[in-house]
Amino acid sequence: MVGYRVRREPALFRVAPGFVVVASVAGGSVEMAGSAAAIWAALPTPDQEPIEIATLVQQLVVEYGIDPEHAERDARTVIESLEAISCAVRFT
Amino acid sequence: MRMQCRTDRTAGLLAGAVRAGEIGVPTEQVELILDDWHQGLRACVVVEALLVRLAMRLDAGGVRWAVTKGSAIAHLDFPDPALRLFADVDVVIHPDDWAIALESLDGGQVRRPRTRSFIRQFGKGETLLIDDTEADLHLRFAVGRFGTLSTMEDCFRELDSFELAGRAIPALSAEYRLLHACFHATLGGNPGMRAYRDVAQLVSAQPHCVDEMWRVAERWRATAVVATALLSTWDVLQLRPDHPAFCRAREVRIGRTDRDALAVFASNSSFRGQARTTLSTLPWHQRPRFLWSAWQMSREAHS
Repeated sequence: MVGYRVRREPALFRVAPGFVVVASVAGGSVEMAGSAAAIWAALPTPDQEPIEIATLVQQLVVEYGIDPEHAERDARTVIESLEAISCAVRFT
Repeated sequence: MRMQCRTDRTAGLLAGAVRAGEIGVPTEQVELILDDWHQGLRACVVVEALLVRLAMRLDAGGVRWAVTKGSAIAHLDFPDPALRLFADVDVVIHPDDWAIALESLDGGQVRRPRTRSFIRQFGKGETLLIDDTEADLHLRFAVGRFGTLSTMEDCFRELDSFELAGRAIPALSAEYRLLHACFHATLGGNPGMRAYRDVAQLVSAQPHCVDEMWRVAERWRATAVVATALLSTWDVLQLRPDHPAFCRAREVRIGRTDRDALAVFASNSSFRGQARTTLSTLPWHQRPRFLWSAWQMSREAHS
């Protein structure tokens, strides 16, 4: 896994069990199911320090009992979707 | 029930009740109810994105404004904003900043000057289409008698706020959110279950604001509107009749002029009929001004 840090960008969002929908101020939006709500909840807000992706993956492994590969894949997919609408940013 | 909740934008409350086991529904319906809820949540974030863009423009213009209804109630009065769905933006504009607000949002393209003149003097506000989404700009809580008796500057003495996308969004304080919810429930014309639920939610979540809300209602001569909203809320939602808010509403004696005006709104009368209830608030010498302005607006609408 390539190391990087990540956090949210300013966004509008709603979380429901097994569901999260996020929108950027510009109006782009993405909705996600499954572990996405947990990943979104784990992402630091724009005023906080970004989180190491390895730490995020480890949190998912511990909290949801899923294997690290699965957790990393989920996290990558969610972060890419959020980046596409400018609602997350990576720091390498 | 599902269809009613969809239409009424109470799908979040229905989903919450189903998940909590308070309402039993067939298994195949559960997915559909959740789908309705998720669809409503999608609309909420898109509307809130518009609200943030609107905030930027109003703030840049130096406009005093505050959010009311949907987004404000979702964030400030519900334990989880996901429970309260909405599909448009509602903001109250300080009366002194009304012209600047319109200028900030539509670039001062006055397409219907006589209509705007009527609204400024007697109207409820305007609905602007911004980025294909409706934004309701309120100058008053209602058209007609109860709207023109209000002094909307009062709403801006103290504001609440909540955060959206890192930006502080001003909102009406709890007593004015409740007052507006009462206006909507009584004068909104088939307001639906959501309006009564808002009244009940505010009374329950913000009990400290109820007395102050009554004081404002007395000042605005709107106790008939508030009492009617509370009585309807308790009746429709079958709430406990020993609640102080309900008991106080039962004690309100509604005078004939107020009763007549309420009857106009209750009968889903036309806009013209509702607007005409303004006449009872005006001294005789000001009535021609109202009639002239209304006639000019009507002519403009038909031209």
